[in-house]
Amino acid sequence: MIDLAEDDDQLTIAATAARLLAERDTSPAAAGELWKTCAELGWLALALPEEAGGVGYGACAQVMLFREMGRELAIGPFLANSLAAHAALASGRPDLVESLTTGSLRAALAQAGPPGQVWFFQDEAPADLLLVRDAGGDLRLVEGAGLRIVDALSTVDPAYRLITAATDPADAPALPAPVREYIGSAWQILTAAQLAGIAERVRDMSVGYGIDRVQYGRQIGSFQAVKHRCADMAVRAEAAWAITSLAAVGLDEHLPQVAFDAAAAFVTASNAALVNSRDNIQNHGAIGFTEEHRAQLYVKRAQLLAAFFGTTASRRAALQNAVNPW
Amino acid sequence: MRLTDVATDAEFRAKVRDWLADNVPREPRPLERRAGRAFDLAWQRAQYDGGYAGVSWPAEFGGVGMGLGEQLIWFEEYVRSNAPDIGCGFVGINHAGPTLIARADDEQKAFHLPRILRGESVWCQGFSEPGAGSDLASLKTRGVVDGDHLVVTGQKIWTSEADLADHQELLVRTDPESQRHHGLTWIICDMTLPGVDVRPIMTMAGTTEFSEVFYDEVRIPLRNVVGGIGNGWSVAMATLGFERGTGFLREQLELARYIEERLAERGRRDDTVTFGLTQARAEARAMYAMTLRMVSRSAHGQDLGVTASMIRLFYSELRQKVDRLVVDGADADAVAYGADAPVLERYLDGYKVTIGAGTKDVQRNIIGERGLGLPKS
Repeated sequence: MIDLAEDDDQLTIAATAARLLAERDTSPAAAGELWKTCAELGWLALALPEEAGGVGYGACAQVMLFREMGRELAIGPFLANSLAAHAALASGRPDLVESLTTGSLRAALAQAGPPGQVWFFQDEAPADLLLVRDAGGDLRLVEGAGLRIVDALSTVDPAYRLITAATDPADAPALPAPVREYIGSAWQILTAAQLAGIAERVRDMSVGYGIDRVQYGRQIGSFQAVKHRCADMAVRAEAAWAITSLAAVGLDEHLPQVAFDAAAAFVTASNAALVNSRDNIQNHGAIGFTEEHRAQLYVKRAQLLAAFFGTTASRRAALQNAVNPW
Repeated sequence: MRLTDVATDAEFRAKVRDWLADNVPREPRPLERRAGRAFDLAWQRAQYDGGYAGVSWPAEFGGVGMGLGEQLIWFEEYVRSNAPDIGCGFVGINHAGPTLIARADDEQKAFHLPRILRGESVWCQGFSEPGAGSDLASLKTRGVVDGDHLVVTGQKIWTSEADLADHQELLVRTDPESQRHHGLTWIICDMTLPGVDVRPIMTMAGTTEFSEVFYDEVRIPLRNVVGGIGNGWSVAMATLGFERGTGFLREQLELARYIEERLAERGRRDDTVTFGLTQARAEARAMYAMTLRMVSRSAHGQDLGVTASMIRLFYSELRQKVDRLVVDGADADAVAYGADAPVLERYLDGYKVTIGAGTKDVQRNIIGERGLGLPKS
């Protein structure tokens, strides 16, 4: 059977990540330190085979890590480097694999825009290399030399900017279909893991506030209106994490249902993160609507992550087209 | 998170698939209730003869003693084979039997368990009362010890399958001074005893699946008490753990299949019903994953907390959402009603799923208070 209980190795990764992320210096100046530490811990190479310099753990370990990153709003191209390293390995580029897993190169995940342009998200540090997903779903590795930045816009998430660059991704070879499918699924599953982490963290914020905050002489979490909203947050978070775990096993074991499960995980976790982060603002009342409170950051990160795997229509089509293994 | 026992699983799956293909009844279940009972019991007997009765019961009590992985496969193949709903055998197999296994004495087990497995005995559950629904612990039906009998007087209600049942799990107050969950007793009531009066209630969907049951000085032998006088609450709660297994997976998979069938009928359309059903596909898969995760954690002996309540709530709301979508997409069938027009019948019948086995509001209280640690209302 598919065993979805986390094993000791997986729990250790989560505990290490949770501690490191919770204790980190969150000032923008310290972002480089976290990046370096994560690379040293092998987090950018968790799912790469050991003979390629990776840790050899697979997606089941990666989702534990990315869930913690979602919970703690980690900033940096962790997903982009992890996926680009796979692409580099499949392209016979061990030099790139090493640079991506040690963190000396920074990747970004890009979507093809108008002809001759791509767009991607980037934090303060510039991207050196792009993994581009074009309109047809093909994936290509585009190295940074010759990449001309056309535009840099603020995004909803204060940590990331939306960059438009002039490059023709068709100049780079399309990755072979099995690699494309693996990375396409991993992209959705690891994003789902971050979204599941967000859904869980805002659930916990609401529960904490429901216990601490007193109005009408009572803890507000004793009111069913608040309690039931928290219960629904818990159900959404559980669903998001369960389907993400199922999809991760499917990816590691090359099960035929992984395309469906990855799409289902992305849709379920997007919904969980978006609705839970919204309800968390409601549960906090006016303080939740302020910039000083962290609640709003989760709304914004959820929006950024949920919007960056194709369009709504293409995600729906993916879910319609995949064969449901039920 | 990992995949285990792939080869053994494939072998087992092939075996049960073959058996189901040869044995699943092909004729539809009769609508008339007594004929429906006969149909359900015959199918139960067929499973017993095939060695598949009580897949989640331990082997020492006559069950199959399947591992959790095998149970998952069994229910998946069961639904894929279009095997019938468990019907009126539900309470016996999924609740009364497991309660007897957990708490009954040897004589009680030896008498009742084989009858449930062989499809010779139908059970119902006498818990709810007119004044004790969500608040079960406020129940008032009285039991007085008189010699070697318990004399029961009072009323139960919303008793599913009471009109078809041979036995009942009956929860009564045996200490008149007691409050709440103290002073209750769980007893096996023979539904043919003098003084038991079953009056079916018509549901909004036009069925009579549940009844009121009146007890007028019904004399039940004391040897039918399970778990001892005064221990009824803990006996009634004994199966909570059991319900966290695979017993409810069949309904979940049937809902997943229903969504796939409706989507296949619609074909590729750009409308809100099709989009909603597509979204529901993902949610049904997430629900399966939740059950798989619960079963996995159970196998590792982990505390499951309120996971079963979360899955129950998720299922019931998904079921109602899907039913509504199908009505919205049903054209003429959106008003037609009756045996040839099942869409609205299913839709109306589905109202019960957020009420029975704990309303959705009670489930949310359980999740909020026991699961999340929020203060009581």
